[in-house]
Amino acid sequence: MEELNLLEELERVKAPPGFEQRLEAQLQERKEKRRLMIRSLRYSFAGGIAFLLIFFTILNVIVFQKKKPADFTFQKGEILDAREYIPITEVVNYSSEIQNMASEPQVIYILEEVSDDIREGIKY
Amino acid sequence: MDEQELLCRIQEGDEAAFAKIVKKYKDRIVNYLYQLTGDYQRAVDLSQETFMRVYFKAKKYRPIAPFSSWLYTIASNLAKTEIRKVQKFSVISLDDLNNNYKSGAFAKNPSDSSLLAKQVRKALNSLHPRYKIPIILKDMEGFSLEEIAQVLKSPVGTIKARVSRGRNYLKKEMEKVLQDKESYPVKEETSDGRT
Repeated sequence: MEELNLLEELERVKAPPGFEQRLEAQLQERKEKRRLMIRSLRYSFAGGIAFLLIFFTILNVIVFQKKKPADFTFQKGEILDAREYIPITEVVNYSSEIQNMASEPQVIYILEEVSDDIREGIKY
Repeated sequence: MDEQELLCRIQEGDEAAFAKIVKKYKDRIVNYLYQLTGDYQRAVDLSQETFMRVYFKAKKYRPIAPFSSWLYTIASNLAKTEIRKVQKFSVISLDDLNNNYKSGAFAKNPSDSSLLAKQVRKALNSLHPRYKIPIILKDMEGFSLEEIAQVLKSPVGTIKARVSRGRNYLKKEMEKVLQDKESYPVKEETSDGRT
């Protein structure tokens, strides 16, 4: 184990004076840098999201506004055959056809046998 | 207060607890990284980064292993990356070299006192980190094979083999150096450059 003794002969060194102070200063600097980095990341993330929102809003306005609903009005003298189809809109009012039966007096119908030929019993 | 409690407090952002951990381990980590990199200034910088990671990654620590193992794992990984980087970009411009020399960056690097220690250092630096890390942890930091296995996340058998191979390599390197010295006596240089 001669090597072991030889290695023990090597000079051992210590930390220089002011090592801790330098480390402390470096630590504060690194902390500040990290804080700034986190803040800038947060802002850039929020900015990115905001940009995307604005972008899609503008895209929505530009792209989807162009697709207007079909125009069914006709210009004077326009040939109908040129159109693919003619929309017909008819207003139907069913209100006159629906009556409230409850408001009318009740009617009782009595069915009476008038024929002499009785084949089946009368059912009421 | 034990280390687990300190770690819990660091996880909550307690800087006082962090200072206690730093105070306890700073010398050991600086020394460990110095032995690994062979450069004192770099070792100090890497130690600072190691403790930074302890603070910011404290939430990832799971108390399945001792805190020291986790700390040495971080330091070892940083050192490995640094060694790889240095091996990749080992070219230094003359201007940088000159500036560093003038600023006294090299003057801070402690030198090994004896010639033998210098040779050992040279042999150690020539070792691949795969062998160098287990050897330093075992023979200089006093870790057991099980603890090294935890630090390096490798099986104990693998660590045992690496320590053994590393020692053999170191032994061969030292023998080579000693043989070279015997066959080629060192020429002493005079102050005016003549030998």
